[in-house]
Amino acid sequence: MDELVIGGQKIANRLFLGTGKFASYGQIPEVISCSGAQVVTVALRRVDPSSAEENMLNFIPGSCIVMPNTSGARTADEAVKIARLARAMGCGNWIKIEVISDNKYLLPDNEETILATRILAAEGFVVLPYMNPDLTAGRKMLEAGAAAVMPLGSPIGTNRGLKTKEIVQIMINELAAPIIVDAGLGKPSDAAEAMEIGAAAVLVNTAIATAEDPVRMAEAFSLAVKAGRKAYLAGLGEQSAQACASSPLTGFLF
Amino acid sequence: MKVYLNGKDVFLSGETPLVDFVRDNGFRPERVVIQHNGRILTREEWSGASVRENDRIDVLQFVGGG
Repeated sequence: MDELVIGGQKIANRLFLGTGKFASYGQIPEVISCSGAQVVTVALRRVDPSSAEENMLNFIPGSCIVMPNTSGARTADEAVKIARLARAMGCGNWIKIEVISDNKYLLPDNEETILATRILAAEGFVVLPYMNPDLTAGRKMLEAGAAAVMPLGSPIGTNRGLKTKEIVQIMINELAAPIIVDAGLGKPSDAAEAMEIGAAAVLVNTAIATAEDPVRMAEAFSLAVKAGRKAYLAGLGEQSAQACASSPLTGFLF
Repeated sequence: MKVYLNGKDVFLSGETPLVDFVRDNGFRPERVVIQHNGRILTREEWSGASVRENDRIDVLQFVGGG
């Protein structure tokens, strides 16, 4: 049985969905439905009630696991505060830790993320830290109580794909916890690539939200994630530098 | 009296029950989380809480995010 369990919960679908950047929240229920996503991320913000912005919770089915992120946090302390606020919303105890002080590339601060992971895991959160791919930092996050780690494929929102493949592969090989590739996956084939090398799941937002047809793209990603996972389980054939005939080299007509 | 709602000045005639204050300012209380002078309020605490002069009230909700 090929099961993904995080924080004691069985996760039926290995495509995690981010809900930012959609042209309208109204698209989200169908995107969730077509992607099959069970884990859905949200952000927490002060909201101006005079704006037309609706509450995201109205668009996420109750069967989904809501995973708030700590976006906006620049330090561990800020991430902890945001996480506690998010939990007070009453939608469960999952949290994606995101600590970013670099405004150009939005690369996460692993050191602060480790600190926040330790505090929040001790408070009973199911902690999934977003991180720069790094074996040692990943190990420290798991020692600090992370339920999984989420290395980036490329910077947030860039759609550039799995640029960090070598390090992500090492993390998959060496860490006994789910590795979820988060950020930068731009095409279904990027998601399949991550799954083929053994990622436990992928988190996709921009590539789906900014597609011409987000619902169809959600479905495409869902298929790619399933295909990639199946390929991983099947065991990829070896690569070689030279050609190796697929047809017999005997019994030729000429 | 002046209070601060999500960082902006709001003027009230006097001490106001928190739930009324939140609702009067256009929020649907069932889907928000409230921070009162930096402290997160549990839902059980809402009914007993009041907004007083110079209080800082933050009302937050979930929005789209990745």
